[in-house]
Amino acid sequence: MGEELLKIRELDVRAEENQILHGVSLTIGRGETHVLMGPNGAGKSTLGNVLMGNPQYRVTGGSIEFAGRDLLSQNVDERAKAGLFLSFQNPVEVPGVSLSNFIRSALEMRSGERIRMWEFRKKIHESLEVLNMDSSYADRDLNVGFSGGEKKKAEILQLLMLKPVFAILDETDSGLDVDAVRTVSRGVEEYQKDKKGTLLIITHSTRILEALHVDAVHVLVEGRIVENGDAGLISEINENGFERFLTQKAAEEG
Amino acid sequence: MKEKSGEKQITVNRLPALTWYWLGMNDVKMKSSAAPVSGEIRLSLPEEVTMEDAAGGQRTDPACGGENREDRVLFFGETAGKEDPGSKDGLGKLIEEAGIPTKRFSLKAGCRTADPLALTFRCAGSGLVLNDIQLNLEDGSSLTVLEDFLTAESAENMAGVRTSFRLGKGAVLRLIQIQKTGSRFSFVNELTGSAGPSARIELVQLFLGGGTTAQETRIDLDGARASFCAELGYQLRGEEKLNISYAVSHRGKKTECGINAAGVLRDRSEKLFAGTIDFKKGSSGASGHEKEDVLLIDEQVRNRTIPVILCSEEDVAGSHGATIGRLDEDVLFYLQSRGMDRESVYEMMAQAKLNAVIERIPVSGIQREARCLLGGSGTDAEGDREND
Amino acid sequence: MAEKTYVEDIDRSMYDFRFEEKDAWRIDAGLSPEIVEQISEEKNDPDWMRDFRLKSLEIYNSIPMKDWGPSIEGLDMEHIATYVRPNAKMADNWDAVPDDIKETFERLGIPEAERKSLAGVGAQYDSELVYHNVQDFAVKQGVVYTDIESALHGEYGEMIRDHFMKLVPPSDHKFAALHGAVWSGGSFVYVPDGVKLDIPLQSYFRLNAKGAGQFEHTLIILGKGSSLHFIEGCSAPKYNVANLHAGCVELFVGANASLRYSTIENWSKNMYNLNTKRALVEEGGRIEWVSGSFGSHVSYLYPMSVLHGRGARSEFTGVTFAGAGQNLDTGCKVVHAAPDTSSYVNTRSISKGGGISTFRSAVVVQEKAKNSRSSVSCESLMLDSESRSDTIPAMDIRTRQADIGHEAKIGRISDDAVFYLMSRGLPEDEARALIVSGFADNVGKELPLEYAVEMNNLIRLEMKGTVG
Repeated sequence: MGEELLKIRELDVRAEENQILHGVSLTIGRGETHVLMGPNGAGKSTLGNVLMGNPQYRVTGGSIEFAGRDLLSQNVDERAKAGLFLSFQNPVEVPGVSLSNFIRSALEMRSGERIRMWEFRKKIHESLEVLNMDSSYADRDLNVGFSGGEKKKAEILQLLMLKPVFAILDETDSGLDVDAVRTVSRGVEEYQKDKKGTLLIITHSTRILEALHVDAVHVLVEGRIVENGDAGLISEINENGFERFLTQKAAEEG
Repeated sequence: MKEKSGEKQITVNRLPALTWYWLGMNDVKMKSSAAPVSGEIRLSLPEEVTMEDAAGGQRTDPACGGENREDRVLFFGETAGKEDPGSKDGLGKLIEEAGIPTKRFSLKAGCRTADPLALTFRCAGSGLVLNDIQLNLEDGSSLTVLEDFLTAESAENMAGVRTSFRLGKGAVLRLIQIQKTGSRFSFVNELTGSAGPSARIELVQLFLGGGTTAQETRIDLDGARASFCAELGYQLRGEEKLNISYAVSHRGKKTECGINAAGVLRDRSEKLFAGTIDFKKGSSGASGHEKEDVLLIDEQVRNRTIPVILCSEEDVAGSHGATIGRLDEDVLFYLQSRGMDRESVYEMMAQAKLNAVIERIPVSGIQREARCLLGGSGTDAEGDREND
Repeated sequence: MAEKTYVEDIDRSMYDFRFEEKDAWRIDAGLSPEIVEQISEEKNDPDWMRDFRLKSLEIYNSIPMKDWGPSIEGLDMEHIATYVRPNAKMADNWDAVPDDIKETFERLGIPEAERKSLAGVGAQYDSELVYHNVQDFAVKQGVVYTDIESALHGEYGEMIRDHFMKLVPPSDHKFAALHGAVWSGGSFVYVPDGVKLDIPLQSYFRLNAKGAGQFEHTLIILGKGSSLHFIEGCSAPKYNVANLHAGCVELFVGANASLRYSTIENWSKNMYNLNTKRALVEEGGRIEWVSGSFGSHVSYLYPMSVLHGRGARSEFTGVTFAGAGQNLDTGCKVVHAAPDTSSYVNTRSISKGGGISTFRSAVVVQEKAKNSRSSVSCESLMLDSESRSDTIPAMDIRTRQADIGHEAKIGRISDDAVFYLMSRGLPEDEARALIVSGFADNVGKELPLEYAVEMNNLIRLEMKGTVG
């Protein structure tokens, strides 16, 4: 492993009354791509949201270090400025704010400098092209009236434009048809290769991973990491599903 | 109570169903001691629209002679004979007493104009500036009307504009009202009208500033399948006070109404929104929905909302919803996760609320004008957009 | 047919039976200082109370009748006897209660409920309590539950003086003033600090006398960290003249205390129910109102919660069913007067057979109530086009640091739902009754089982009983 970028230690997380994550530990090196897999309800999205600082979840134990600094003490926007990015499973609709205005404001917030309009236009059109999106999307209101696939693409568009150090993709492939998965995965590949990005890909299927280089795979079941492995684990899960991990866990408990 | 000599008080925005007086929501009183004068209008008149001046305070065209009476009935459709609350002690009373002439704009049956009828009211002055506007759209006609209520920041007087309309069968009225008046200026904006079968009213009201404003809208959906939709956006600063009242009466079968209000309160401003959807007996199949979304930016603001549904018909669907105060947590989290701090997110959303209303303006030239009046960020991006 | 027997099972006679007003003493109808003094005399009031009554009468005469809401023109105070004393001393066992009165409460199921599931019961007949009893275990914990008159003369006299009509002053509105002048009967409850009573207390109010008024006063004081569930029931036989109920409920919820106040109101349909209920909630305390309004000709009922201490909470769950000849104006008021307070309102209204139901509310968030939350949700169901249903919710928000949500819906029973149930073999009226019961389930599931059953019976009665 290269330089450690993200280090999660013994993380316990609660939402309302329930404990969702139990002692999760995970380390990701700069430039690596990790995959977090697991059945529905295992707590995968929770982990992504906790990393980004969603106030709905409460960290009750453990620590998270990002780029050598304590992450948990930082606000949501501070985390974003530090280079963290979460691609949302269900991004909210924001009427009255166009997609391009929004990305431009976010970029200006990060750099603290005004961005020249024509330069920005050029870049956003390049990214739109990578994602097979019509340039009119830039002027539409953020996520308003977007289909499920369009919302996912708009998330990846933001990923390409904001160029974070570390991106968490939360079920970015779910609900997409074959072509859309290919397009989205081209966007992710671009981020991975050209932008030298670090990735944590949360998924319960494996389609989006086909074209991507994967360094490590973690399997989360009922809030615990039950297996760590290399890309080989993907094809195994592809064939056998999560059955083995569930029975294995039941046996440990029994 | 006796009125001081020369001081006139009118009662507007009366709630169709009264409630506790201590809430102060049952009505709004407006006062002026200035002499009433007839206001000037700068207008741009599409070819197809005819304009007539009627005698003081008359709601009907004297040129109609013997048909006068019938016309009066016609003008108010099935609502004739109903008490017009405005003429008792409201704006109508002031206009009638002062003999303010009525400007009546008519569009012949089946006539659809692409050009908007634009009316810019010169509200400022030393008097109580009054205007009375009638819009008469015959069957199957379609018209876009822009009413601008603008004054310089220094204006301190009071003005009242009454706009009444009648829509024939299948007629469509798109009405855009934009107000930006001085912070010591008082204004009464009354809009009343009735819609015949399958007629449609699309209203966009944009409030961008004004000292004390009462905005009263009373709509009668008389004909079957008549519809009314309203988009209201407001932004208040300083000590501005805005009182908004909508009362939509569903009388015809399968009539529809939708009211969307969104706004931002800053500094020590105060806003009251009273929206009433009234399903009258016989309005079977009708549906009416209203929604208000208010963002409170500063600590000293006061926001009052009373969304009323009255219902005497079984087969209807009605709803109202309101969210007041803070931004939705999901929205805040999403926008913060892209690196914007809390303050910036609130500022952006405040702009967004008004932008979303401006986007509903059906004519791009008027959209542009509204954006200019709104000012602030976003306009330069729009400029870029135009240049693409 | 099984369905028919079921209707008979819940015959209205359960509430409508009545006994002759024998041996009872009633005061002259009308309102005057003499009448008020006479009531005071009868009740052996302390001096301060007598003065309080007379002052209240003055206030009553100085307040104009309000001009909104349902009409109360049919109510003529000149024809209302404000005080009717049953011929019975208050007893603490049912055998000592006169037979006809005892039978009344037997038929209403009160002694049975007491044996099965209550920690204490008070039963009022016309203007006076005729029965009061508290289980030993509650007494041992220091819980006081008694009629308010004896408490006035006993060791809690000062406490009552400190609280009586302090939360609902006679100047609050016309009928609060009337209450202050002629109040009689009702209960006093005191739960000491830290005492948590798991089993409910109940008061039942029965107005038997014709053309009379009932003006009971309920005063509940909860010490710090205590908890209580109080159930209130009321009914009356139907007469063809107006009866009046203008009770007053004052609830003082101490810091971190928790009070649930449940009411199933089933006054007869000649009753003017102009009741006032209010709770003051201190830091970390909680008030839960559960309210079913089924009876009366005209009701004005808006329990109010004043969230006075940091983190105080209020929940209001209500259902109102307005049938033929009824005009029920119900809802609630909440005042957020401290930081971190929260309120939650969930109501359902049903209108049928020409009945009028109005949901009316006011949520006020004061400037000092930073970080407060309020959520109001009301739904109305129209069962025919003779009826009427209005929703008039007001919100007044004076701080930006608030989170206020409001939603309301109005509509009818979906034909699809009726069709679905009928396709499973239910007759149409049964299907509709079932859907309406489900609609009112927000309250049903908050009530103890027996009361939920009673409420469902009332709904079925309204749904299936012939009009008139």
